Amino acid sequence: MRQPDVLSAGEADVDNGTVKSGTPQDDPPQITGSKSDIIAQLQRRMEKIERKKVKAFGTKNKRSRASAVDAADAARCDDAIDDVSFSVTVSDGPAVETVQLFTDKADSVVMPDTVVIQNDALLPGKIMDTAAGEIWLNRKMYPGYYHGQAAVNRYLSVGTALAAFAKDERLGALSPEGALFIDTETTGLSSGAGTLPFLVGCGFFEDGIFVVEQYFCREPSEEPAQLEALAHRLAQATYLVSFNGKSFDMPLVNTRFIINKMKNPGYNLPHLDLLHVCRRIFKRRLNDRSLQNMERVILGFVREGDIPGALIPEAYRDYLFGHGEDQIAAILEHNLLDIVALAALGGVLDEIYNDPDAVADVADHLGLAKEAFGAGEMDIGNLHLDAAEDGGQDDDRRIALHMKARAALRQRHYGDAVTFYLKVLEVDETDMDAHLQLSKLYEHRTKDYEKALHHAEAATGLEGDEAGERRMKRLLKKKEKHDNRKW
Amino acid sequence: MHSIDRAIAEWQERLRGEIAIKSVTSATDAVCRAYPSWLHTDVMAALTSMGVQKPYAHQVDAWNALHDKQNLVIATPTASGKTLCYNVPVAHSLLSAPSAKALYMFPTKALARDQEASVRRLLSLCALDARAAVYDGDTSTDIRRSAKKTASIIITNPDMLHTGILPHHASWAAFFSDLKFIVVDELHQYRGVFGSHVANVFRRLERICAFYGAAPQYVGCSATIGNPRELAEKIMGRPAVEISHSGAPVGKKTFLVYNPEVVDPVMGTRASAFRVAARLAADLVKRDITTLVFCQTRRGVEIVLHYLRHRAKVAGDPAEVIRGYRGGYLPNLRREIETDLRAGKLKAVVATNALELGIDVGELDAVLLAGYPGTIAATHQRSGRAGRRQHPSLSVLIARSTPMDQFLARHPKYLLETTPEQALLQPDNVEILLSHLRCAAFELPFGDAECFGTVLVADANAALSILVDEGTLKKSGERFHYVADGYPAAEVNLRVTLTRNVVVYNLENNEPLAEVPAHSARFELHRDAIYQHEGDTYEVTEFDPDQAKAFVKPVAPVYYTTAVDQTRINVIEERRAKKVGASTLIGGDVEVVENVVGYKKIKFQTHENLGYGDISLPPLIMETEAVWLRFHPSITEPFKQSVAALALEGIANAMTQVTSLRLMCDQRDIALSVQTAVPEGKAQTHWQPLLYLYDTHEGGVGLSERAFDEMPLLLTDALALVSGCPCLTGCPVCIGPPASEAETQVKDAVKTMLALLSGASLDSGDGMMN
Repeated sequence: MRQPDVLSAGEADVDNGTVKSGTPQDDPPQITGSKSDIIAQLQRRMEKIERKKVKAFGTKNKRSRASAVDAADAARCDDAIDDVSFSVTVSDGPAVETVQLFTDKADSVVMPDTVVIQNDALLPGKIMDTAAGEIWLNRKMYPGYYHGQAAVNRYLSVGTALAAFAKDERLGALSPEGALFIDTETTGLSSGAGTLPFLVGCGFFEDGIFVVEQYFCREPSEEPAQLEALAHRLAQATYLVSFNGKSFDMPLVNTRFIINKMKNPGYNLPHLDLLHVCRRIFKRRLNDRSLQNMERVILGFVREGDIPGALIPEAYRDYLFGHGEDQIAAILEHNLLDIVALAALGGVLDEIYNDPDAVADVADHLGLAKEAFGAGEMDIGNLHLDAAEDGGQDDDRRIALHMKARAALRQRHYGDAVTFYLKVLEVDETDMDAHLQLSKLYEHRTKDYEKALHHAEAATGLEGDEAGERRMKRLLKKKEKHDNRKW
Repeated sequence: MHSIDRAIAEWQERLRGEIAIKSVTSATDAVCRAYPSWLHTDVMAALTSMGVQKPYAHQVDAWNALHDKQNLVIATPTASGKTLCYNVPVAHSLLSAPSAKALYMFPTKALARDQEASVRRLLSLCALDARAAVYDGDTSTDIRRSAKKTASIIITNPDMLHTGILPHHASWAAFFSDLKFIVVDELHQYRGVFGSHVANVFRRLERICAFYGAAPQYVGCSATIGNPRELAEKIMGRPAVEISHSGAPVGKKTFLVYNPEVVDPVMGTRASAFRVAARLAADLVKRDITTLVFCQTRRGVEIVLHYLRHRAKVAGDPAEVIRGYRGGYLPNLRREIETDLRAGKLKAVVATNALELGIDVGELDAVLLAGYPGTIAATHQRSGRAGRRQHPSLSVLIARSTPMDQFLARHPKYLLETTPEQALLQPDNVEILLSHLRCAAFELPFGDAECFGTVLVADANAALSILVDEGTLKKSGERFHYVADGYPAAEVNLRVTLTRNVVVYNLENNEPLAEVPAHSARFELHRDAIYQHEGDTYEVTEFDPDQAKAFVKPVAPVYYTTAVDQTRINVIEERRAKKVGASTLIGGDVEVVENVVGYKKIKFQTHENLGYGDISLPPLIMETEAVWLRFHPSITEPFKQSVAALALEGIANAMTQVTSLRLMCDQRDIALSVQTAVPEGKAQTHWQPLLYLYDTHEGGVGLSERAFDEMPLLLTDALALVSGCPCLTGCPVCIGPPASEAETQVKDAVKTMLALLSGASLDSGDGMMN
């Protein structure tokens, strides 16, 4: 067997414990490849894409990956870096064509130094100067405007409903004139730092007239000016109204303020997000709780020729790369409608909250009642429940009665609770929950074990076998005891 | 005589295999220093209460370097107290400035949890209110929210930093503004493609820090590798001082390579390393020597564990002091095993590399490696698990029948004297670079006068303008803005470089049987292939590459199958060339077209060829970087063409072994292929073979570039491998099994050709490794 040398030489000098010095910190790091290396790699990459493209056209089905996507990639790269100029004739493809691969630019990298602002002749609005530069402003006033059947100015008389809706009591004390309606159009739907709200729309009341101002970035570089204009609006607002702005628009806007190293005056403003309100109030009858659907169903306004939200990021990108001002005009219009709809919707929600007669669908009473109870406005809640009980289908009535009963329980009005639960059973005698609640009320409140037992029997199955059996046993024992005592 | 020495002596007498290598390192004492005077007294008190009376020299060096505002890489051996090297300055800085923040990065979630506990212990001993919180994919939404706002130390992994933190940096504004330390532990994990990605994540991190006005210090920790400082500087993107002399005490260490006895002389197969590991571990446990057995696979762990417990039961010894430890065990169970091991309750643990990664398991006497872990660095790291106290310790590498393991058993100097492998990465690989520039521009608009880590302004601009052309960015004013839809970080997976594994289902019970990497699946799992698993044989009834599924049924055939593949390589561009002997070595870009065309049926035992079958799978096409040898006629012409062709295949086989050793790469990262050049459009006038070595990652990751530079060394290694192999006609260890036993000239031809190529004489080639 071999006996190699003992491995000790490397370990002997540990007490030196020396620190090897690296490159001094102020020297530029000399670690990676030179400039030419990366540029050479980039050029090779371009050529590779080009080859794939030739292959995609040149041979059919040779390679699934060299598909139209690669060809499209290649097509987009047609004037990138390179100092060579040549062309390739592509044959055997759909058509014989000559493709110009590289332009003969003098320098390896050519980028325009000045920003070319897109043609804005087709856009409504004008350039506005701010402390942070120019921004495109579109301002529109809506005196006496009705959105569908809803007057925008109705919002000016909203009351406590808002505080109830927002679950934020700060809102109760604020005047409707301080509201800022906000909606953004963005380059994407993700919440990361790279999503740009290229259009911010702000609605507000100015001398009793509803006004919308839109700040549009014709170039991403106009963002500081856009934020400057927005900051001015936010500074004057006392609270915000949006549709999904709590989780989307405002965090995004805040990120933009941070990225541009600007202060966000809207950071801590109370915020009424009507998406959440609508979800709660209309959950029993509307599955689609988008703003456009609210607008159609609640306000009675139907949009025509509206640009679908999903197409907006792509449309803006098209515009940035030199085409599609008409699409931007459509986006501005889309955003205007969203903001007026927001204000009109706010007014209608306040209306139906305070006036049960204004409610269009009985099912909405239940949602509104819940909002009112949640805010401690029992009277308003009960008015809605009365309306639901009177005008609703069996199911609406049953739920209204349950809500009334639960409200009564919370207020320790046990007699009322019994009445409501008995009414539930009139609607639906198999309502297990009502039976169970009645059993408990009779057992603990009125000590009527006979009735408690009756309802407990009916409720069996609701609690599961074991719990139900325990309840029954206990009641039988109590009843027996009670009966014996009577004797 | 110590019980370890007694065990070795008895093994030498009793065991039928051979102790191929024995190396003894004598004990060294601790080198301690006094606490530096600047260190906060609360930290000193905390350390003292933890039992650190005097810190080791390298710890004090690290603290001083950080105190002097240097960036640092610590590359001392396993268990030398690296954690304190960075935890102490962080605690000190928190005591001086409570708003200070630190970012800790570990490659795995398990390690992050382990470190969370240890840093919290130190913080509480320092009476600091500061919170350390793990922020990773397992962190709940609520804790994430509070961690962002309140934690002083965020412990995460590169993937989370990449997809979860950097793209949302605005909500981390407070954290980044006060960021003082960035700690990157287990730096050696960040190599190859993964490392190249991580280096770019750090370039992005640096931009974000600069944006919030932070200039944090970087601390990297690495296991022993050949180039810790280079690796750290590439990952962290800045110069760093290196501390690699440990002041921790080391006991006497004995390192053995044990080569089990030959059980099948025809095939040269040796006794199973699993069985031998169990046998040795059982013996050590009986001698009350706490033992850790490392296996390469999870399945290996189960097999050794089974053998070992069986032995304990037969001998009437307790089996519960023997535990397994591997990925797939639930975290609670793993914590329990770690705790029991630390507390000395366990006698043996059989583990995968899940235990290798810095997890503190306390003190062990012996480590057994059931098979070579693949790198010298990992061998050191795992061996370093033994001997934490200044007591004698033992580590044994049990050689398998594989070519690599047998090479190591025959060449002791390779393991003992070769510098540990270098960690390679190429952060400027443009595909990787471009994908991170997209992310970077998403995070913050990219200025046209901005560099990207060590990527210079002009290069960054050139790359960015590519992204403008693809429609991702728009240059507006002086900055490139991200204008595409989507979330670019989600498109970039730091770790996945190959396609997903193919899952093998057993049709008998419809249960998954195994997972095979997609690339090997084409060879092993084609229709009608015989698939071997845990000693059982199955026939593949269906292979669906798109769904990454294969279905097998148990069979008992008299044969096994081997796929016949044709790899065609088309040269795209020759970029550089040099002479290797009289032959030419060329580096450049190639297109690799891989076709699996059929398979052979080979009879068990006799290895007769029983016939062929067809395979119809679409070809795999990849563009990558390569080097290739264009042989001078003087190399091949002395031989019959049929012999030379086989000899070249033999050279490829030998080169595959030595290249993965030299370049510290996964077997999957490179491939070798012999091609016959047929000049296009010309009649094939004479036979002109080429030997290609290429990166198996699309676009290449720089391995073949390294091979271009190191080719003479690789050829010398290959010659040593072949010359030192005792087989007569070739075996899996050197040039591969011979086509027929009568083919005696091939191995000689390989030796002659390699000698000519490397310019070495046959004797000196043999001598180099021995």
